[in-house]
Amino acid sequence: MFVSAVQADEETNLEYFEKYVRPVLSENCFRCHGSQKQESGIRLDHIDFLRREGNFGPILVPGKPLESNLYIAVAHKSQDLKMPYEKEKLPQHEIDALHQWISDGANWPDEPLPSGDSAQFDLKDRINRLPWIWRKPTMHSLPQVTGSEWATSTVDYFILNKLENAGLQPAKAAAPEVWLRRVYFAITGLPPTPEQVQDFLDSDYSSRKASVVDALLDSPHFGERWARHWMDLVRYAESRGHESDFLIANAWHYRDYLIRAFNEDVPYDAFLTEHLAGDLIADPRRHPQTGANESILATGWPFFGEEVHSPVDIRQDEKDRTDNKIDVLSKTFFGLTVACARCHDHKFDAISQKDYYSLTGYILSSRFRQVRFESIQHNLNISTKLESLRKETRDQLMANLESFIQRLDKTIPNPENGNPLDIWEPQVGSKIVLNFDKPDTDWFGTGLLFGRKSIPKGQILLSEAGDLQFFQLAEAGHASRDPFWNDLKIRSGNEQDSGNLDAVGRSAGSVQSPTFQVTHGKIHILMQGETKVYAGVDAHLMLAGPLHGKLIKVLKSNEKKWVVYDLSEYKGHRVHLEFGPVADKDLNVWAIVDGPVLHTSSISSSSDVLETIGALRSGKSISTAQAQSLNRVISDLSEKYQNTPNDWMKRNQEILTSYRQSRNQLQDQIQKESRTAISLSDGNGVNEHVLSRGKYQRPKGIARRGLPSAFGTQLPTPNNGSGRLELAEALTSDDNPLVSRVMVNRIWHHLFGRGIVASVDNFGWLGERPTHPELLDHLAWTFINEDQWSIKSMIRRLVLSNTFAMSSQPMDAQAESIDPKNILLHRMPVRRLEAEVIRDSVLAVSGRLNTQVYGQPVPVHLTEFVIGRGRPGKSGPLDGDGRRSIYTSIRRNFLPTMMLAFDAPIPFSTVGKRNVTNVPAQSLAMMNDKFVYQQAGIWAQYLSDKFQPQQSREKIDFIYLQAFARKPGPQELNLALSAVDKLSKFHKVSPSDLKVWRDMCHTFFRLNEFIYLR
Amino acid sequence: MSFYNPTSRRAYLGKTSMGFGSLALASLLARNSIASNPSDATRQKPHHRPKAKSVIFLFMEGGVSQVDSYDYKPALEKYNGQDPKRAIGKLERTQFENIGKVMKSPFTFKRWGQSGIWASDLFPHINEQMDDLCVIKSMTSKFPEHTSANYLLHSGHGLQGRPSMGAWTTYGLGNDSDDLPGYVVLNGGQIPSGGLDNFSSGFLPASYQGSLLHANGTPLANVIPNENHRELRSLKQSLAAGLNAKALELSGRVDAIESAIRNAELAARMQLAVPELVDLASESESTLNLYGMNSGNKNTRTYAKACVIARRLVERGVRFIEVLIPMVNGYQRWDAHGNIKTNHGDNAVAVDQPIAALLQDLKQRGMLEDTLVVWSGEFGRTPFAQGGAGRDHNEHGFSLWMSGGGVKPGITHGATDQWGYKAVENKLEIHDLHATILHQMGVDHTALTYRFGGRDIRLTDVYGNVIHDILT
Repeated sequence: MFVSAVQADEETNLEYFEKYVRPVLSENCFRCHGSQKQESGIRLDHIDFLRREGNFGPILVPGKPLESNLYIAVAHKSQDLKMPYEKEKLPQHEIDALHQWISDGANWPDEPLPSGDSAQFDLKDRINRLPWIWRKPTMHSLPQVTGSEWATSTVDYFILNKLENAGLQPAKAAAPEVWLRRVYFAITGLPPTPEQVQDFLDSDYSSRKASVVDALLDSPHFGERWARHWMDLVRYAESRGHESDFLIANAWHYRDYLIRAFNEDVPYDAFLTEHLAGDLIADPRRHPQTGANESILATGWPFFGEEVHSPVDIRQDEKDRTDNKIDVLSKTFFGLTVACARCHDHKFDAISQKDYYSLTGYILSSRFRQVRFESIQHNLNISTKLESLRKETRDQLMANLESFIQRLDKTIPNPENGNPLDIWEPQVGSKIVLNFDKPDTDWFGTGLLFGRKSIPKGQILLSEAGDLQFFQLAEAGHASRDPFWNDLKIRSGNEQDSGNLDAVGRSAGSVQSPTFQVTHGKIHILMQGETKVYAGVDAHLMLAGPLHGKLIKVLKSNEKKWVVYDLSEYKGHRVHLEFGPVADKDLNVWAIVDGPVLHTSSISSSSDVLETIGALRSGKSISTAQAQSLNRVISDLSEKYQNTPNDWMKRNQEILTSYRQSRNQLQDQIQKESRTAISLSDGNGVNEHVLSRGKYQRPKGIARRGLPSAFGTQLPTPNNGSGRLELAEALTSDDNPLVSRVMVNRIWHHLFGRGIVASVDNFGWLGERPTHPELLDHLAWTFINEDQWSIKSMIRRLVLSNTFAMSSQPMDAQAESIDPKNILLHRMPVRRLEAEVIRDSVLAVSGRLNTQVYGQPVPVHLTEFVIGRGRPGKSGPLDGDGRRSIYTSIRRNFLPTMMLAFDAPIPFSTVGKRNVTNVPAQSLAMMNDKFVYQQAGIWAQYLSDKFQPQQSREKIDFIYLQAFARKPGPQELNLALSAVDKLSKFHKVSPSDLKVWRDMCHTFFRLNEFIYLR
Repeated sequence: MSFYNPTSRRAYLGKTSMGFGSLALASLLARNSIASNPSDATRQKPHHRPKAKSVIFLFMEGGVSQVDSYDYKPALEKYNGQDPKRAIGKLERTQFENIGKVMKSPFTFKRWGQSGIWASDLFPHINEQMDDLCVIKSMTSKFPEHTSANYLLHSGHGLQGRPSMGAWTTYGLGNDSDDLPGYVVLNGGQIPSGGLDNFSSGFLPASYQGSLLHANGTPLANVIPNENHRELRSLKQSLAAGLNAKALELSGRVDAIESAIRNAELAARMQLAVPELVDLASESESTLNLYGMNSGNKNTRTYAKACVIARRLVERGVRFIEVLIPMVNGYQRWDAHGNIKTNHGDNAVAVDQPIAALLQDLKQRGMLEDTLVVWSGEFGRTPFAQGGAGRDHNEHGFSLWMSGGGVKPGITHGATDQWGYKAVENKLEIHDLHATILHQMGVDHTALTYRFGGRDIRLTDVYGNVIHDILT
């Protein structure tokens, strides 16, 4: 199943081949011996061709360069056969490379035969290339080891086994202070304080390790550290980049969500489900104090990408945005590069072009919104109560009506003319988009302002104001604004969308159409009242001139009529309409038709009133004629008894009075104020076409929503929703082969500096193979079955292993020569700290660290190197209020220089593994950055406050403990003390002077030990 | 030859000032066969013999109008004031969709130099150098919006996140300078739409990102020491060196830490080299005058200084230099939506003399032959008016020029239709420009790749052809 040790060597050879051999062949040989031409019948671009005999004999004899004509020819070993033909001999190192490769066995990667055309995509064949990634992880028994006294955790057995097989021993245990610093940075990203170091060293530390780890995992700073790792995956940012770097309003609630979720150790399967379908979970997770909906916050991630305002080719723009979402989704959650299959089947992996478009359907079926996450759950409960109250009231009214009519003379006339507007049909060429009059019309909407579904025909309309005796029936199904919710407000401080989208304004509620393709263009809307409508053409939401201004429009009509919204210029585009409120204006929407409608002459067959009531009471749908006649009867009767109320009228009044009372009580309980956050909301199910060569102009067959077929899971594709919840279920099923592996591998990567699969975002063919496949499986299995998807448990397990406790010094020189890249983990690697950790450490040791968790981002500090269009109007403080780096605002086009110098990723797509570079800009930052210098001064002041003036030695001891979690050696102490002396002479001040210590502290910041972890 | 050889690896690290980053570089490049001899990684071996050692990219952000500069179209005079839908036919969508009449150029065209190339009087100084220019009249872009077009022009891709051509160049060839970054962006004042990401290293290591250099003020981020006293600086430096050396005993000889130490030394050198670079005291009065350093126009002076520094960067071996235009009228750039005459007039005054001087200066110092100068906007402008007197964005055909670096002088290449609207002859894409720039630097654009997210990605994506016709 997995690559064996022998195969691991082969991997190395393959790497050699790719680096040194294939380029030589491709550059010098393929032109005459490749897919286009085969001079002398020889072809060199696949091992199968190389194995054939040439005119001169064998082209290739693995292991024997001098028998291989390939080598003989390029090395000019034969007078008759010199290659390249009539050209200069290749450089010697290239010839040597071929020699080496052939000597080593001439390994060639297992790849399909090339041909003139692109090779056929064969799913089975592709799966068989890397069969293990498509099989669910299984429990592996612990491998045999001889040094079993070293192996305490199960992890250690797997590591030790490989080391022993290679003739290696694990490195010695790291010094306790080294382990302590390591575990602090790994878990919280902050250094231990001198007291914590001292405390640990003074104790019987080996028995205290577990409690130290537990305390760190319990610290709120754990969430900050691990949320930041996750933010790299979802390209988290708080602005949209592009020309004006518009704000992504309220993005930071997602960041706080992450911190809380990691701190609460939300099981990873639940965490993933929240990310894909947090808005659809029936019983979402609630914030323990505020009751806010936590789950829904996770769904903000699709919208942290770049957004273009006024794209001229708005459809292409949508395809590009969707591509970015697919890229993030597939890399983050299942470690595959599905986005490679946008234009054609994946070149290497078991992912077809159709798979790509199957995933895009989930994006197309889901919509952007600002959700009132703080109040939503509370108010949903109220709305449920309100609905049952109303139902009860309507039932009572209907029962009362029925019994009254039963008592009446049976000859109630059938009225003849109703409202002709309710009888219509689309003209030829027009298409009904939405008709609420049709029973069981799917409801798409957000918030509560329009209720949670449409009002069916014949339903009693409870008047919420005015006279208490009367009521009417809906003569046609429609959506209606419910004044019950008119007082909803946005909490102050909530950020407003950039541009004209006004999603915050619609957060109280909207009624939405399904997504449809514009064909006629003149959209006819049967409505009454006033609404601000948003046409989500190609889901374009960065609405800011000069183009696409008409996608937001106020529509208005005092009476019920067809209002035209002209979207002719978007013919052929996908669109959905969102009807939002305008102030506290009424709004009723009956139907939406793409194109004009015809009104057929009115009605009506006679119907029996009691029959109609009976149908309504038993929940059956009725005809327009029935609804109209019954309504007429009700109003005739109401008129008749208006002045002398009879029993029927009196009972109506009773029912309605009691309703009003209960209703008002409910209304008082509404949580009126809320902040908003970005989230998904569900639209109708949309399946994308496979687009030939990725071009929207060339659609082919439909790709139904679903996971890539290689997963072997069929998923439902409902028409009335995206199906994201089912997608999440499939991914978090115990049978899914990748989700658990990818996540434990990410955890491993963060703790050990290199993933078991080093290419953490790509488990596919072009990614790397696992160095310890059985261990990966073992961990994935354990993660699901023992840890119940608990990230904290997994971290705890790993950091308490003896593997994690190894020194970074190799056991001996031989270890380095056998395993120079430390692939087998014969020691812990030395690692540079990440950008954020470096800055946070500066704050921590200077004493300036503000440990406040959560909240509004701190504006980025602007310098003359953080410039460009859309630059924030105000600069943030130099020290970022002393807050941890995760709280500094991430404005896409204004990333802080120091973060960039230390490889903080540009938020454009998933970056599970950051670059780790070593460049002079980093030294310059630690030497000259104003922030670092400022903190050196604060640190010096802190030391001066803590110690007596003459205590230079104690100060230096303390500095070492703070910055490096260790005491200085005698030589270090002497060097430092003499520097104090020299500095005091230079500044002409006493050795305790702040100037001296500021320079000392400033120098300590630039020591390598400060930014490296042993 | 053993692939994993720790001894040679260490020896190699010892020789390179770029340290660890370039180890990664060397091994990556080796796969792409450029760096076949990793003994000197900062000076990578090109694929073929380069014609140009450095590139100076004069970015005319906002989009210079081709029909008002290099693409002379008498038809615009004939049809001036007519309805373009009638005269030209079907029009492509524009950014503002505010279509005016066919509009002739307010500038006057004539033939210049021995080569007799047509150009308007927009750039009188540059026109004097016409015999050194190769004017391309058939460039196209894929986007009519600034930011996407800027990203495309810089990185070959219309969205944020790809490495810029300067980053690709330094990644591919390393840096010839010992104490300056290999990719420098001279900030004339106007940061282009899309921001600093135009100069990003994308998914390449941060070492390749463009360094923003200011002609005035702090030239480079964090390059000015906090200590204004040399003795104090060296005191701190020697304390750091001493303590670092001691700490090395604890960590062992770790490559990353060793190269960090070397980087600190390089950083210290940069603190001296960068201020020296921007200090023009050693330039002669006549040179400074030639560039326009004493011009009465503030913008001309700003751009002149940037151009002098550009030449000084080439002298110091910097690989890729981009010069940004000054803030002529706020953020207006060359983006003449309102009035082509005043907008282009004002911008031209700022850049004309300095650019002409740069060409002359490079030439008289014998540097032009191995310096490729590229002058271009992100797209062109419509031959019909936007509103009354402006022109909207036009990605379907526009002009740019190159000079030096193995490009044929005194020629034109390609053509647009009779309106100057769409490229029709030798139609080119930005990818072709990139392929050609890399080719002149000695790099095969199809072989310069970097594996990211499961794909071997290149500057030219899957496109691009070297424009051989214009090469010497």
